[in-house]
Parts: sequence; C-alpha cells; structure tokens
Amino acid sequence: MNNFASDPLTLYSYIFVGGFVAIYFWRFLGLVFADRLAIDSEILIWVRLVANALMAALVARIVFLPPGTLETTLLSNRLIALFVGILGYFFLGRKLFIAVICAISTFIALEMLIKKSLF
Amino acid sequence: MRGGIIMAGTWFHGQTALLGLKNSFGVAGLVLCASSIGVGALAHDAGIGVLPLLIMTFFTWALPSQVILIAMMASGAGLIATALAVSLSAVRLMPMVTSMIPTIRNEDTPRWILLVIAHMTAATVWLEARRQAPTIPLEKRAVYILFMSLGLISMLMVGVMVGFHLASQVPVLISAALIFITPIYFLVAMFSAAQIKADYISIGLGFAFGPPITYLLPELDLMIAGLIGGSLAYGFFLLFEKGKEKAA
Repeated sequence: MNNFASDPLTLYSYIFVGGFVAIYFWRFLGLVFADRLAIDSEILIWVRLVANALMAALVARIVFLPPGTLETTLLSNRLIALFVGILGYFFLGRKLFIAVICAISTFIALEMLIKKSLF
Repeated sequence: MRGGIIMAGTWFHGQTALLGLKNSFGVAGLVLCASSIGVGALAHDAGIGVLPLLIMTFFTWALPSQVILIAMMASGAGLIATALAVSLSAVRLMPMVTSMIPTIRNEDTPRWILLVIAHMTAATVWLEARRQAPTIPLEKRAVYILFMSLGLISMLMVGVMVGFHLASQVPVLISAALIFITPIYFLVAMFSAAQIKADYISIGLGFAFGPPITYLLPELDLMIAGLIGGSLAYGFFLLFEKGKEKAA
C-alpha cells in the first residue's frame, strides 16, 4: 500500500493525474463536441437522451448491484422505495423534495420492519 | 462595439450569481451533502488526510469516480491503472457536458468560463441546470450555473468532512440510506427535467437495459446502455414527436 501520509508528491500525483486529468479529459471532449452544436440543434436532443439513459442505467446498477453498506438491505425494499418516490413525485405536486422524502422514509421503514421481525 | 474593454465583464451578473449560490442550498445540495458522507469515511480509512481529501473532492467533482479513485489508492494500484479505472467511470460526463453547454452559453460567454463549467458538470449540475436554467435568461445562465456549482461543491465538501470525522460510527442502516438517496434523487430529478415523451422513454430504457448489460459487459455497461436506450428513444422522437410538432 502507498504511504500517502509521508509522501505528498505521490499523493498529489494520484489526485491530479489519477483524478482530475483522468476525469477532465471527458469533460473537455464534451466541450469540444458542444462547440459544434447550436442550442436548437436536433443532435442535442439525442445527446440528452443518451445521457438520460446512461444515468438511468447507473440508478439501476446502484439498485440491483448496491455498493457499500447498501448491500446489507433487501432488493425488494429498494425497488418499493424507488417506486413510492416516483408515485410521490407524480401524485404529490411534482416536488423533488417530497419525492425524495417519500422514498427514503419508505426505505428506512421497510428495512426497520424487516430487521425487527427477523431478529 | 466589439472592443474587448467594453465587452469585458458583460458575462458577470452579481444578482444572478447570488441567486445561483442561494438555489444550490436546496434538495440537490442536501442530497450531495448526505451522499458524500460515505466518501469521507472511505478516504479516512484509506489514510488520506482532510486537506488532500478536500482538494481531491474539488478537482474530481464526481462522486462515483472519486470513490473509485480512493479505492484504487487504498489498494496500492499504480498511477496509470488508477487513472484508467477512474477515467473509464467518467465517460458518462461527456454527453452531459455536450448537452448542457449549448443551452447555457451565448456569443459573449468567455471561453475560460466554459472550460470551468465543463469541470463543474456532474450529474447534479447537469440535472439542476435542466430544471432551473429555463427560468434564467440565456445571457445570465453561465454565471448562474457557475455559482450554483460552486455552492453545490461546497455542500459536497461539508459532507465529505463530516464523513471523514464520523468515519465508521454511522449505523449501517443510516449509511445505507445515505447511499440510497443519490439514485432516488437522480431518477426523480430526471423526471422533473423531462421535456418530451422521449425523455421518459430514454429513462425507462436505460433502467431496463442497465442490469443485463452490466452482467454481460461490466466495464462499459453504462455507456452502452446509454447509447442503446438513448438512440431508441431518439428514434421514437423522430418517428412520433417531431412529426406531431410539425403538424400542430
């Protein structure tokens, strides 16, 4: 393992080369493509839809292959909570905040209920 | 009147900057703050100090990629291998920048601001720009987005610091709920930013295609799911929605 505490040069080369440069490369490329597109360009709609689908795939990956401690929770609870959040959004005035509260409180309630009944 | 001195500074609008800063302290900021707590804890366990962590947070500004960076550093991976793994996770930012930039600039927007905004583009900013930018006049959008991003990044840094100091003292269920807030916010914010039916279709297809493609091609899954789902939704737009617009 790298000893980052005693070697700031290594630490900051990881942060700037492994982090900043590696990520900014794609942002810069995105900007280069954006230069060729006008605000009313139809390709812009395609790019937006691709980005939408990509983000939705990321959401699905977190739900179905959860990272970290989320792994300790039930898939059914995650799916139900997500569904309740979407319902909350569309039926309670299309407010993002309310939808997030609906989903997360459903999630915590379901998890607590199940953990309690099991142990 | 294209003299540099006269035009210099026309991109800046103080009130819009303040509004952007103020609006960053909303749902998006809270979600970021909450979801970054786990990242702070991760960095703590990897032996990365507070100051490097904050600098890293500012210069990566993409939580999933930052998680991979910290995990690679903790595992003792080489610099090139780390850069490649992090880079692979950041491909998703490219279509976000490409689709956002043309909607927030005009001919007076200085190049350096666009270069900075490109760095500030992450899922949260991309979503909030789509949700909020239409209410801001075009010539003020760049400064609005810039200051909103700065506000959001501050919230992220607060969350990372809280996580760093709490480390592993957070109960498992709370830490799981903090992770789960992000996908909920992403999904609902995408619904709230949707303008046309094809937006909803792209979200549904991406969600449906994601898991099977992850199973088949775990490295490039998101990009492939994005391209297939987004292109099919675009086909729907060309076939049904665009025609309707013309007929109406």
